Amino acid sequence: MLTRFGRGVVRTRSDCSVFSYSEDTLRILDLEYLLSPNHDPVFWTPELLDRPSFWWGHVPFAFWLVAKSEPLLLVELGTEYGVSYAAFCEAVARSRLATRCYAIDTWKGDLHVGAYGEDVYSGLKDFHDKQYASFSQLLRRSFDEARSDFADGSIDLLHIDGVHTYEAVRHDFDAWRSKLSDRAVALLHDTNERQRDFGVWRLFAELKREMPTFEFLHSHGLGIVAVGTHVPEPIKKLCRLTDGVEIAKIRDRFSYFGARWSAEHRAREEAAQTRALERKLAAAGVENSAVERRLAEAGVEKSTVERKLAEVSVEKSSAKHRLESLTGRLGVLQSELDRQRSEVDRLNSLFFMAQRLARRAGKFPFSIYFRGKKKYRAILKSLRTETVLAVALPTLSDKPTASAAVAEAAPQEPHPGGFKAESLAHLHSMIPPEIVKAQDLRYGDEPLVSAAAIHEALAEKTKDTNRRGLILSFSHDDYATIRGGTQLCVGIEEREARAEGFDYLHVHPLANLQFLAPANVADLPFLRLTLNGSVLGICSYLTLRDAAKQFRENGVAQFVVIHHLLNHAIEPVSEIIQATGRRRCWFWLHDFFTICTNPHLLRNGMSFCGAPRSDSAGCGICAFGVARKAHQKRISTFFEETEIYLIAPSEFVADLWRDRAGLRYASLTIKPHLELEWTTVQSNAKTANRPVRVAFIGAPSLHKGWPYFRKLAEEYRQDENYDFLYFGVHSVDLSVPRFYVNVTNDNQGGMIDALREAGVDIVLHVSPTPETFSFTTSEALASGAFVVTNAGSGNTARTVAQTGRGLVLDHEMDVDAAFARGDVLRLGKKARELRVAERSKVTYSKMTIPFLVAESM
Amino acid sequence: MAVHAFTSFSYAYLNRARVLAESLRRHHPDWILWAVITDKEPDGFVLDLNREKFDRVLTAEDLLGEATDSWLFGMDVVEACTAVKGHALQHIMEEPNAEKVLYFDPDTAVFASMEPMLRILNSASIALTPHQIDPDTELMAILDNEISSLHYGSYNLGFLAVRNDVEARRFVAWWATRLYKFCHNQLDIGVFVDQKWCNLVPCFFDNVKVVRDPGYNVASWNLSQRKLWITSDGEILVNGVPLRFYHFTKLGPIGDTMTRRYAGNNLVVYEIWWWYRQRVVALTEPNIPDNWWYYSTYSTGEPIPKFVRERYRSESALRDAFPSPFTDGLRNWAANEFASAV
Repeated sequence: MLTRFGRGVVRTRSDCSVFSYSEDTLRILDLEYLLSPNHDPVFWTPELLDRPSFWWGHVPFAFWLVAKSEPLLLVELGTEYGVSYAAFCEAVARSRLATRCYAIDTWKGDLHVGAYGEDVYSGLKDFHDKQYASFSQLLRRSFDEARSDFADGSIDLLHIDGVHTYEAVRHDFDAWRSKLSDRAVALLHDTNERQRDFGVWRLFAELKREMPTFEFLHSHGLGIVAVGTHVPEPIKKLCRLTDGVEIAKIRDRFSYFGARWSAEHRAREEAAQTRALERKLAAAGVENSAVERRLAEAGVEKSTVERKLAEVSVEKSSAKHRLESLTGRLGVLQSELDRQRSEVDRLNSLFFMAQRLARRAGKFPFSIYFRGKKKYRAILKSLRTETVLAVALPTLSDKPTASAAVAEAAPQEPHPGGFKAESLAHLHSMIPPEIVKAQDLRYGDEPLVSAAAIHEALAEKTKDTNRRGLILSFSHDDYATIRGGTQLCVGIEEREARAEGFDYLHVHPLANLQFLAPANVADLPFLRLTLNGSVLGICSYLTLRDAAKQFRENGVAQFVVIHHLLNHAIEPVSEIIQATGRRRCWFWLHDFFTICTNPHLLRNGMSFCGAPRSDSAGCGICAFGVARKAHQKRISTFFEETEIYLIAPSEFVADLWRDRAGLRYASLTIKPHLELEWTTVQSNAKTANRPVRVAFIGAPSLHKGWPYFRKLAEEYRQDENYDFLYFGVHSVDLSVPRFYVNVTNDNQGGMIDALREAGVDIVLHVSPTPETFSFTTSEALASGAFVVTNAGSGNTARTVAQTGRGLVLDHEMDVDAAFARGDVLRLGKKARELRVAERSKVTYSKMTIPFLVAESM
Repeated sequence: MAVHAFTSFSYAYLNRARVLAESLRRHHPDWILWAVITDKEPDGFVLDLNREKFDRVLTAEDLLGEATDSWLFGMDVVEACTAVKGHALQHIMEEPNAEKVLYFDPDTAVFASMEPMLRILNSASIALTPHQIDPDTELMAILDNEISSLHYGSYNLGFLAVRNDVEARRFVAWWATRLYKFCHNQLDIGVFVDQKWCNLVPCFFDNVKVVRDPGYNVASWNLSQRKLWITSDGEILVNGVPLRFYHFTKLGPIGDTMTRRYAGNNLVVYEIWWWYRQRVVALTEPNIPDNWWYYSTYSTGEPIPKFVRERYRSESALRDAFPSPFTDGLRNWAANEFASAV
């Protein structure tokens, strides 16, 4: 039979289905598995995000299905806005398949969706022809009319999504069945929809009895039918699954992935509604001008009336009836004014809600959160149904304000104060907890240990007379599982301690309070202990104090190192130090927690404050100000009771601490966490001629300056002079290449290697936070990149200034100008040239251990 | 001798007045703080001075006696709370130990010692703070700020300071008299409550100090010419001098809009506003209904239209006929008189 639409030729690709892994491999879930490109299709981004559809939830599966089944001929019956069809086409394009695709629809609507306008087709055609015309066609005809265009046994993937009555869908399936190949897979949408006269579920139930199937239940249901006898292996396995747990798992996972696009689409819809609302408000502003004019006229009229009233007061008796009439009219005007004013308030309030929601709606996954909340659903509903008619009124009776335009204007986007001013909307006064209860603490399955048990655990080791002693190390969290500079330091210290013959007992609280813990926790099972890297158990401060006392009595030398007091109750820590019999401790200044509850000294979490007195006006308006006073008092008592040997990782922190802390201490030593040396090398290698690569490293947070990087990456997205890259373990709200790098104690140079391999030229470190050391700065420099930073970045700025490897801007905001002037571009090229001629050597600190070795001699 | 400070408000503004009192107390624990309240407590709330930062309370009845009701009936809440300022100031100046008296609007807050203002009063009898002390250059700012000052008064009467001397007492006597009869929002005849009257103060009185220090009375109407920042010693500076007090005028959308318009990227301004909102919320009394004002309704609870108030204050015959205007008599008369209008 002659056909108009034939099959293409397959480019061979290896079958790398995720389902071809063994169960064991699936269970391992190791890093390699997580990073496998096999999963890529599920995470692809659809291109047609602004169209309505009940199909959004199935888009990741469509990507996966096409990528894994590699159909030669794909046909969709019923396309409407094209969401499913575009997903199929996108998968074909991304997988570089030789698939021919056809969408068949009249684009006039049907029984279930109703009639719709020509714009649905024209909108899809515009998009389609630009994106997929090389392998796809939109056929505007009925399904029956189109059938003769396809040869029997030619279609590998058929998606039926036309009229959803049982009769219609049965007819479609039967009519097209002969066109399906022996590899064919059929998809039926709405298998889980039973309202009205929907009947796809019934057809699917019948087909299930005849051939292998799989059904997703979300987004109204999607049935997969393995029609052919030789369907591709991954689909065959999917349709033959019998284990309920596995079926549920696959359903759940694709439902979860699909929810991302449903949510994204809804967020866009809501944003569009907000924009429409804003346009309405703008239009209402025009109308408002007319209202203002009318009110101005009314104002003039009011003056006239009042002048007449004055005249009437002179000729009161003769003009009484006229006075009454005019006074009455004034009343009507006033009532109208009052009514209009209340309407303005209501509209402004709506406008604020719309703005807030629009901001939230754009931020997945937060959009899921706010749609899940009844309160926000109600607000959204009210936004959709409200008609905005008027905005504002001129003020006739207020105190000095402004021109009439003032009243109409609700705060506009973007905030003139920038992202920091915007963040104030979410800021609250920081008040520490007054009490912590045992039930507030989260325990794992670690055992509660007594002082005797702690003693016993160490007993074996202390028999060895060559042991130097026991280090009691305090920090705020579990250094083994939580990432961060301080945690890395503790890990290094533990390793070096063991190498030098110490035992290392690490102590961290179970609660994450963001403050000092209240003293009442002293007898709660509040602490988690690890001995030489292995978990020992849970105990209270009092238990640990008793254990320290017992060690002392047994002649065990104990050394206390404090890395952080956050989340700790400071009073019982002091008691433990006293119990060791030495009354002294080594104390690391990893940040400024000894000065303020905000350890970065950021006033209101956004601007470096310089650590003024707690009774200063600056502290008075700070969210951390109230808590700071009590905090300082407790810290001060601790420093009074104990002989403190401070270690600062940089001169910067030492200088600032000496100047501002006002605390008593025994000594202050500067010991950088790592040191860098460069040596010149002979090389004939040429520098690559490519865009300057600008990277951001680590947590994409406000206090690390992520908003500056995000803004620049978006602004220079199309600029061929720059590439923007992210390095770290976090997800980022920005479409840039993301390099997953997790620096651990087993992988200390991981970030340096990753930056070097990616050829990063510039690391952007523009932030309000005064760094006490900054591993990322050192790692950047060690990799051969230059660092662009601001004067307020503490040790980062000092290091860049001292090494000359980068640029120190006066203010954070100057980074825009540095890019605009081409300074960063020139700097990036310079870094690249220098990288060819130099090699860096990195030496990591052994933390407190050299001091303790000397002390134990 | 003592320094007295007072503010004037209705209970709806008690939260703001508390923030002011808290800030004054922080910097001047020895001052005597007065709350002038033109209102009566709503059901469920009793003002307990032991729990307030204020030392003393004055009410409209304390100041005007039996005439209070008929006088207050002619005014709305803004007019009433400003009209009492003259009499309150006179009353406080009669205190035997009152050396200097300062008035602050309830929506202001003090951020540094007011000692320099007291020093100004060592030589001046009356100190006024203008809305603006530097000319604007942009058209919008000229319209918003300078033209508004021409319209509503050159000096902002959210603040006033006097030394208790002959000249100041002469001023206060004049001001209180004018406010008794003409403290209305009547821009068509050139009157704007207590404020516009003070345009005449430098004309009528000696020893008047127009304070051109940008640290006083910072508000949206002068932010276009004032830049705020915070030093590493925690001092808030305005154009390089310490911020003495900020006027948080129009807490809400209008205030936000005007602040954004003129603060621009001056982050400290937004931080100060953030702090103010937090304190106002923290010190809000849950048992006081929003917009509460005892004198806003007849004794029946029915709202009093503005035009009835204006008619009442303009006709002595009406005042004679209804000396207790909040009762049914005047309400029934108004219902009949204005039936066609309402």
